[in-house]
Amino acid sequence: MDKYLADYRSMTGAKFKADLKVSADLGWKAETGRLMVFTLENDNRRLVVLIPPKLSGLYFTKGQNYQALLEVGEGGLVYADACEKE
Amino acid sequence: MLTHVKKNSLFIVALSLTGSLVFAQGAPPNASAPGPKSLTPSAQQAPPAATPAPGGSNSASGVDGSTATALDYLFNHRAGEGTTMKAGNEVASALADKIKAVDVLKTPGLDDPIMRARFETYLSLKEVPQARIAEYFGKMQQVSDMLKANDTFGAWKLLYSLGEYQDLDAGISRELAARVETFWNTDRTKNGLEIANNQLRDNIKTYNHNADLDAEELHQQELEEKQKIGKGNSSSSNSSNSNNSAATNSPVTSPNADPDVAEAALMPTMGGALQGKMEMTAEYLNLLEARFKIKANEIKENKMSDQDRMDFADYIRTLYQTHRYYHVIIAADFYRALFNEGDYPEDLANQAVAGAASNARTAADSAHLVVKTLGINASGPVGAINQLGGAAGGQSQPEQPLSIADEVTSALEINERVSQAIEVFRYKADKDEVAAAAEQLQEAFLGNEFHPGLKGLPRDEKEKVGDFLTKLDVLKNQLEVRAFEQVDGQLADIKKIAADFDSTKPLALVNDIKLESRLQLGKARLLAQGGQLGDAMLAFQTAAELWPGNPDLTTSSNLFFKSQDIQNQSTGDFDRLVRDQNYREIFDRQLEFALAVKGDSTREQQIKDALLKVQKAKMAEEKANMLVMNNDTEGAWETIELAVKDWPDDTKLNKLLADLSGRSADFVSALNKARDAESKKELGYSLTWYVNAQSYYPPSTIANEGIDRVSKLILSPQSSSPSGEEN
Repeated sequence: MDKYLADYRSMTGAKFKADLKVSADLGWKAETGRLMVFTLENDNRRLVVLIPPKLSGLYFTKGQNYQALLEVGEGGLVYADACEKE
Repeated sequence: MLTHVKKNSLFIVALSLTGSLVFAQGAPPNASAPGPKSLTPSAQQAPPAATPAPGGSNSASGVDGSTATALDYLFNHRAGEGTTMKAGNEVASALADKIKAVDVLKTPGLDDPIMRARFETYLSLKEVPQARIAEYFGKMQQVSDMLKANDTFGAWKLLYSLGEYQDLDAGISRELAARVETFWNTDRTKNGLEIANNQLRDNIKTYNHNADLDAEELHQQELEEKQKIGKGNSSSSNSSNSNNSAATNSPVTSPNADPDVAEAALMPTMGGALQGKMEMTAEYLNLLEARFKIKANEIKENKMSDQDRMDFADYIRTLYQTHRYYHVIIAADFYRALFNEGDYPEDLANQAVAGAASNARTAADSAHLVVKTLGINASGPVGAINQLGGAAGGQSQPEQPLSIADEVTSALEINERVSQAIEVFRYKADKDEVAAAAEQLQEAFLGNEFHPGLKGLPRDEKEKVGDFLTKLDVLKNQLEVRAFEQVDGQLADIKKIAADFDSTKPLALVNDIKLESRLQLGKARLLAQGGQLGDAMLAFQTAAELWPGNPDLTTSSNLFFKSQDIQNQSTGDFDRLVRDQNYREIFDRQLEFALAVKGDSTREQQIKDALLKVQKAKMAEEKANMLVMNNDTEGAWETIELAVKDWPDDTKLNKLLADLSGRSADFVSALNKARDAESKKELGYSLTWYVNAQSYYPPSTIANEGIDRVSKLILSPQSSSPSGEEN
């Protein structure tokens, strides 16, 4: 998280696993997916993650914890390749 | 004659009163108001540039800017139609009329500069001794007496004596004597014609006598011839019959007689008869010629008499018209004596005037006299009555000249009035009532400036009148140029030499105008305070025109026109502050600038924008302060940040923003990173920072709007436009 916030470009294309806690829902678009705000474990800072349409079956509720495979995309946008409720 | 004069006198006395009343109410033509040109220089200036130069800096002459602006406005601005100034000018004009109307300031008749000059010359002339005047008058009376006693020649001789009084007579008597002499010369010519006619008449008698003698002689000759023939016939029957037969049968009658001898025998009888007839014819022709010459001479005599009469009447008229009234009377007496008339002839023109019109004209003549002595053009009454005559007769008639009788009557009346005026003058002068004395002297002078009584008035008394009139002129000038501050002193001076001078009306007039000026000045102040600078300026100008020397004008102009300078200065400052975007100073001086830019729509919009900008900034500052007091530093920062977005160059806001940035560093840093990434189209990174910023300060408008904006961009990249990004 620190690395991303300091310089996301160095992480572009990289994939990593993260334990996420649902913080807020910023919106949804069928063809784009859902924009969600998560906090990391033991870190109050927020991370915005785009949940792609393929994961549209997930239903996020504030405070839920998820384990996800994340990839840093262009413009620093973080995508969830996979996401599982803990 | 006597009856006629009395009748006219009655008419004059009775109707002169009417005439006085009528003309006292009529305004003299020269009493009209003067143009404002003499009032202030403003009326003489061409319209200059409408806007005074801004700045109002001190001039080289030492006049400060405010005064210079005041002078510029006063002298270079004209009143427009329907403006306050126009109303002011009307007030000024009405007051000028009032000045003219103050009767104690009037010098009737002396408004004519020529008459005034003559009067002033007269006032400075040394008096003629009374004894000399009495002597002159005595001789004049003597002339009249001699004429009444039919001593025309003696009166004529005395005229030459009168003519020697050059200071009183001006040679008029000598001229009259010359006129009389001319008449006599003409008379002598007429006498010559009469002598010639008498001679011709004698000749006619001679011619008649000669003709009678010729006829008698011719008759005798015929008788003698007849007797001879009779004797011859009787002797033929007796002894002479043989003679007759002898004569018949004489060699002369015989056809065989010698013709020469026969003619010689017959000629004595036939030649005598023929010669007598021719002589008688010649006498008859001489007689006719003499009668023709007599008739021609008589016509010539009559013509000369008529011409004499007309010439003399014209001369009397000239004397009347030149105000030589005493000589009019003497000349009229000569007229009667020379032309053997008991009364003056009526002018033909007067005979044509109908009764009513004639009476009215007499009245008009009376009025003419009175008015004339008052120095007013007297053509009015006669003209008016001539029109009346025309109306009575159904048609207008040309103005009728005065008859000799009228002239004599008028002359007598005028002389009487002048004598009375002189007497009153002496009385008033003795009592040191110089104002009344001056009035009487003017009246006398205008009535008959050649009146010998006027010549005898002492010079020192006349000089008092001269001083009084000079001071009165100065007073009039002071009033006309509205130098009212000098009027009090002048009135005091006049009072010193003329205690009877009534200063009530001039003082009332002056106080009236002073009050009006002060009122206008007060109005100007009120208008200036109300921001109506244009109207204030005009009211000020009216006040200045009414009383240019008003001491309050200087004080007021300093106050008033300093504000005008401030206006000019303010406009310049305002423009500079707008250029510098120093809206806070504009805000601080908003009242001053609001007055300065009033009416200037561009500047008015600029000041509105400036005030709105500063008001928003100030509200932001107040809100920020309040939030800081509630430990909401992020909120305070964001408030100022939004205000700076509207007004990026305001140092106060930027300083405050910098202060608050340190106290909300994480929030500010997150927002800055979010906006920076957004501007680089790093939407994911930007959105993460907006979300983090919002976590530091959840109510953050900037963060929430950023989240909303960038989220949409990410979710709908095709439909959302990057233009929605926060700058």
